Amino acid sequence: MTLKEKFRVLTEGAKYDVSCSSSGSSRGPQKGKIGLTNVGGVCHSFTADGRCISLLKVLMTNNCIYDCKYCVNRTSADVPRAMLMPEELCEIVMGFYERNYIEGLFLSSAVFRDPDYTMELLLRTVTLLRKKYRFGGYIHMKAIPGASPELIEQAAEIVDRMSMNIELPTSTSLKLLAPQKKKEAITTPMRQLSDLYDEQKNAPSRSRTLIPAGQTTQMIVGATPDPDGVIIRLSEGLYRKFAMKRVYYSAYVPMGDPSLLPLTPPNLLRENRLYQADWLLRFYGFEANELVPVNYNLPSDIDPKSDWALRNMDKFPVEVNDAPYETLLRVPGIGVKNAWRIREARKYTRLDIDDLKRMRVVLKRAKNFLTVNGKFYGGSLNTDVIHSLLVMPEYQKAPSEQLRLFPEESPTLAAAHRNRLLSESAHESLTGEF
Amino acid sequence: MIRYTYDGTFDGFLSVVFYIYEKKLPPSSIIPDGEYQTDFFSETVFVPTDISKAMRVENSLTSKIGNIGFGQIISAFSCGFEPENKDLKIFDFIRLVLRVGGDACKMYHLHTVSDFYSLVLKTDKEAQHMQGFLRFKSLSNGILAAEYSPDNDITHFLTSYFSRRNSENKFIIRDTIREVYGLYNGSEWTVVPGTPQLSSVFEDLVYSEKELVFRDLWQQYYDTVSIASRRNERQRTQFMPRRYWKYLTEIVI
Ligand code: SF4
Repeated sequence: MTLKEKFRVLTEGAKYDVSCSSSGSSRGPQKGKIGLTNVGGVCHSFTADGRCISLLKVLMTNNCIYDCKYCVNRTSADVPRAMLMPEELCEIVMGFYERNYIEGLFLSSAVFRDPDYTMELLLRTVTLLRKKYRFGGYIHMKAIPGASPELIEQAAEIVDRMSMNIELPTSTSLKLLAPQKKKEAITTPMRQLSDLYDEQKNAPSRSRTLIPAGQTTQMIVGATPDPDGVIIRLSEGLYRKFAMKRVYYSAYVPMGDPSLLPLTPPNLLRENRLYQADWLLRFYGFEANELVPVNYNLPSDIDPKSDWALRNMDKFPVEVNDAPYETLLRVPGIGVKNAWRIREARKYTRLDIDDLKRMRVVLKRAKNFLTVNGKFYGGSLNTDVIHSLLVMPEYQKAPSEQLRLFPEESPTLAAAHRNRLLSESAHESLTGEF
Repeated sequence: MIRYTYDGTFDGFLSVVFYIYEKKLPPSSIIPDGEYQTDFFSETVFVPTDISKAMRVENSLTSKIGNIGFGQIISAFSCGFEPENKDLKIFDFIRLVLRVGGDACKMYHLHTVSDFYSLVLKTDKEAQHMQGFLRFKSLSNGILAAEYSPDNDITHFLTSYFSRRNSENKFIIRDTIREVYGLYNGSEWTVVPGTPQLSSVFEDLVYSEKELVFRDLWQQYYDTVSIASRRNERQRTQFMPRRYWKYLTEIVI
């Protein structure tokens, strides 16, 4: 097999892991190293399916001893098998990085021979990349379920982020579809990574040496009957107990064992609703209990925040000038940025409807839940009427999981320009008008 | 009311601000010299660039709105939209800052502030995009070369950024709209106006041998990593507008 062909096979095997983010780590340029990391992450391209390419996502090998029914790389699947040599992979990463195709590497692998053997192979590759190739960019590495804690800790010292995929939200599903994987093989390293991450939690992000960008995980949605209520509660637990940075949801793409798995195409709307609910847990102060009962799915016709608001109409409308920040966050149509702007701007004036428009607050939905300086601009307070107004043809509007709704920090031009100005002109003392 | 002109540089603009405050003569417009026809009905004053005065304005602003706020003023100035009104809008914002201090940055409900931030946003958004979308090609002489056609004047930002990101490679970035070039020699960077010698670099590009190998692997990667059953053209163009595609190695048009 040519290098190009191997690379194709191993890209093919890696692409169903939806995580591609390069965020969470901010490492400036270091002497003798090539590359840096940006805390908000950088998207380098978007694929025909509309997803961000940030990292080179590839498997070391797709040769697997396991037979997880949902997976394209399972032993029983009839696909070509390949393996990359560590040097080959490093060359590609460096070549791609200097051309600005990518922000770094997301290295994963099928389980080849045994978990420790595979983990060592990954570890050898990222060590080579950091030491010999002096790569200072982003590395996300998959932890192999069942690998020994020593290897996991060694990897955590080298890479920016690690992930262990839960894939299936209940042990019943796991037993059925991934019989060789034990739940503990996933949760033990997760616990270990979260402890490692916690140990240095209070250190400033720049001086963290162990997985500065934390850990993430992924769940497949729609391969099993597990409802959203179960999934969202699991996510909530992962955020709270394992200091998880992100939980990714991946609508099942039919490629697994057809005798045990659905043949229907992915339900992207459901995936999107889960992401919305996930944002509400992480940034809006909601609890899973408020969003959906355990045995139910999220509604598909309206977003989970609107759904919650409609079930709690007794709490609305709220006055934009007086409602606490936490309450503003719960108004449908008002995002974190808007709530923050409102909170700041109302310190200087009592906001009216024109002020809100200038602040680019989209009132289409929000107006049904707000009074603005005492006035209600919505059409009705009747739940059914509002419900019908909030239904949107969202299927096509579904934002991808990579959509950076809340960039953690956007780089401003300040640093660059200032350097230029300072180097060109001497500092002058402050005199006169200025 | 006076119409001010200057040499079009950022320091020139700050010199105008200084001049206005010194003479206490408010502007009807502020426009780079030679960009627009003379208006016979108002007095025009050309303000020469004075770095030390510009620095005083900068220091004063920085003390009120910090480095981030000052960076936003530079972003707004680099914005390629609304060339006739841009400088005046930035001046209005500066005037507000000098009057009320750092709070100005949070008075989102005011026209002055929202107009100012819409300029900032346009520039920063494109700069952020190009951090990812700029593509370098390696030439046979070992230099990396990138071309792009940005809406805003962001080459200094990108040159500075890539000098840190790619600190060991010499590179050249060409803004084809403004014909300005960002250069990095392996230790220092600068941005200069185009010369025939610089533009010739891009006329007969001789690629390194490896360039074609990596391009081929990258194009294959781009096509393979997309999931066919999830094709979503709308979303792709929403996040990666078509006007950027021309320079993307992975997209073969
Ligand atoms: S262990 Fe399971 S999920 Fe992982 S590659 Fe092998 S078959 Fe796929």
